[in-house]
Amino acid sequence: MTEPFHILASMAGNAALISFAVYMVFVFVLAGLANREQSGKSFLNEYFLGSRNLGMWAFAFTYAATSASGGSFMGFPSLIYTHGWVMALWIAGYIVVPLVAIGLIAKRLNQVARKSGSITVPEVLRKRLGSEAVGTVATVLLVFFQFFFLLAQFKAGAKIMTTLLGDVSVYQSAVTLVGDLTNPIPWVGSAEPDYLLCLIVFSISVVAYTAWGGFRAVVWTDMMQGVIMGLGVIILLGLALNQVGGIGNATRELARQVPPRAGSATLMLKVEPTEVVTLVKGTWMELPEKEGRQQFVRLKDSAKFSVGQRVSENVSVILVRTSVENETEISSIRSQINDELGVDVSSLDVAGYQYGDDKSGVYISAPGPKSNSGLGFLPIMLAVSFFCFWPFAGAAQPSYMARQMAFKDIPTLRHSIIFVAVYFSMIYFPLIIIFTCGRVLLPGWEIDADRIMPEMATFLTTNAGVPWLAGLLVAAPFAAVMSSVDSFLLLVSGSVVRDVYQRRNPDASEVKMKKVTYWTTIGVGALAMVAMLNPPQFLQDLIVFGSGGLGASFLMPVVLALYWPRLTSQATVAGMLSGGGSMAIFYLIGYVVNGKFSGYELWSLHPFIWSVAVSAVVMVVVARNSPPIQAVLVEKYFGKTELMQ
Amino acid sequence: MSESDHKTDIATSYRQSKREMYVMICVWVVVGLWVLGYNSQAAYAAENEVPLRMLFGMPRWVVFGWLIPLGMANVFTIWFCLRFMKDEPMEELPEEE
Repeated sequence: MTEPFHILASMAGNAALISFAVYMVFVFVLAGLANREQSGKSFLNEYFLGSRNLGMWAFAFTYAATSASGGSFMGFPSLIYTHGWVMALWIAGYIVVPLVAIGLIAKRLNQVARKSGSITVPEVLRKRLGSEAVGTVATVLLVFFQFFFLLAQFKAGAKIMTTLLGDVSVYQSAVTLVGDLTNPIPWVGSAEPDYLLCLIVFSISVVAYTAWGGFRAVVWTDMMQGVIMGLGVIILLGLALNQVGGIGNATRELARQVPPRAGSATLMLKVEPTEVVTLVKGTWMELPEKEGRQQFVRLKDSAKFSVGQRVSENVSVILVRTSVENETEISSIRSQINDELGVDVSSLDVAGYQYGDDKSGVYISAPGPKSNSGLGFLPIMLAVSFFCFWPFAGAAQPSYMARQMAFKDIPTLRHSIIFVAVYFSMIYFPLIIIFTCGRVLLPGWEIDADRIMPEMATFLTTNAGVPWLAGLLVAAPFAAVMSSVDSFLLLVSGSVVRDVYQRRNPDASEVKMKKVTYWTTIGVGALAMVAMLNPPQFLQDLIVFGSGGLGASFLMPVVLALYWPRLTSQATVAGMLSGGGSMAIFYLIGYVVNGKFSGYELWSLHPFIWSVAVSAVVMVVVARNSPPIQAVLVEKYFGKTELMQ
Repeated sequence: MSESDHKTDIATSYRQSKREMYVMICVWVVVGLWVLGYNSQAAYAAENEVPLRMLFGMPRWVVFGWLIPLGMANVFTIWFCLRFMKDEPMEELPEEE
């Protein structure tokens, strides 16, 4: 990288720090205001559901912001960058998510929750079925699966902060200090000090404002975060299209791209070094043109040369082979090459993707390139799975259900669905365009695709001469993570307080409940932070396991509890356990078959589909063979006992 | 309101919610058939297209198999929410346990 780029990146870093500081001030002001709203109201109802009077903007934004988690702004861009336009098909289920995921249960759930006076999802099920066992099983499954989500978002929040503040000098000094302090501590000392510092700051901030302001603070900050996300995407779209020379140019260059090859190489300095030389991760080197493709090598890890040592062997690299017609892409790479490096590349030993190697057009078509599967990224049956997964797994997430219990009336719901439909269209479609342009503007980020979002933000704003704008753009994924963390935190603590503590201590005073609630929120947050000090490698698979597990455990039980009067408590317990259990079994088989923690995709269908099918069948069979529930419950929630027939 | 009127309201509201749910499921099926049916041919054949067939600067399958269904689904959502979905009186909250 050139010196001017460093200066501009540093300006972007300072701007990011200021943006971040301003953003956090706003968050705490909103939490303080929300805390004042709690006075004079029923504490639990206000703290966990905002007294169920959310208006259109609040409900729509909190739903959209919670849904668009860190995955939408970090994982999704990374997938678009890695696999291309096929991601439009991958996320096609989102076309109907606002209608199906919200509309499917929101109206009935809100009505049943009001009628039963329920605050949490397990409580709705317990009261609707009149069974303690239903509530207990639901609480255990919810806390278990939701906690995986929480953990993942803590890690994502800390990672984004490290990128956001990377070039800020005050931050660098703090990182050094944290490193010095924690290094001697067993286990904690093995964590990267920059990650550790950001994790601590992130955790304390988000736990503090969530505990202080409760659900209303979460909703208000979600509104602000939703606006930031929307603005960030629109600005990024404009900058990307402008700099790539229009979407047509981006698609044509993308159509000529082939996936990079990965492996190792030997690097040799032309001059013997007189001091230690380090080639940082991401360093580019140009090779001669071959078969109509211009070749470039990029370092996946840094390479070090000691004094007098000219050769470094087995350096991890990728080989980017782009068409000589791809002018934008080639000029972008050449602008990042340092001509004074004086390095020769030899003994290149690289392997191509199992699907898509040397295949033009793979980034603009299905199934998309994939490094470790000959079937490609998205075989048609997997596309079918995801089309089912997004709307229905979305409908079954308890964090969304909590919001569906909180809107004040049906007009609010109707207008919110319309708003979310428009908002999602304005977020997800532009994201696909932005990061397919990213493949052309910033090639070679397969070395660390998860960083493409902040890298694009910095690159685009720096090129446009407005590096300070990077702060706002990178705040978008940060806002997305925060809005998910606060919601999940509240959901887990709500279940613990309402469904466990209050069931055992029904006569606890409001003052006592307040104390227990605050300490539970803080405790859950602290536990998540400690668990993430050294995050496991297979975290992404755990996230999918967590979301799929929640969907499989709750989709059929909740839908049938709301719409099927004949449902029994035995069938509900069996449905939750068989849904969640099936997910666990598919992951166990996946572990045995694939040798790593991942779901086994029978006939290329996602385990979620099989688990929901198992849950549905089990519930119907058990309901038909168990005694009917009390007629009074059917009358209360469905109006007529004849419906039991 | 009498007890029997109240029960009738609950039953009517339940039936209306069920009708709305069936419509949503139908929409999901129709969109699924369109998106997956069309793209199972168009999107999976696009890598062999020479020259690349583009519309509005994007691969043609994205426009016909994703963008247009998205627009149609949004139009339907607006109609559904403004015209089909019925307002119901919301129950007053009972006192907390």
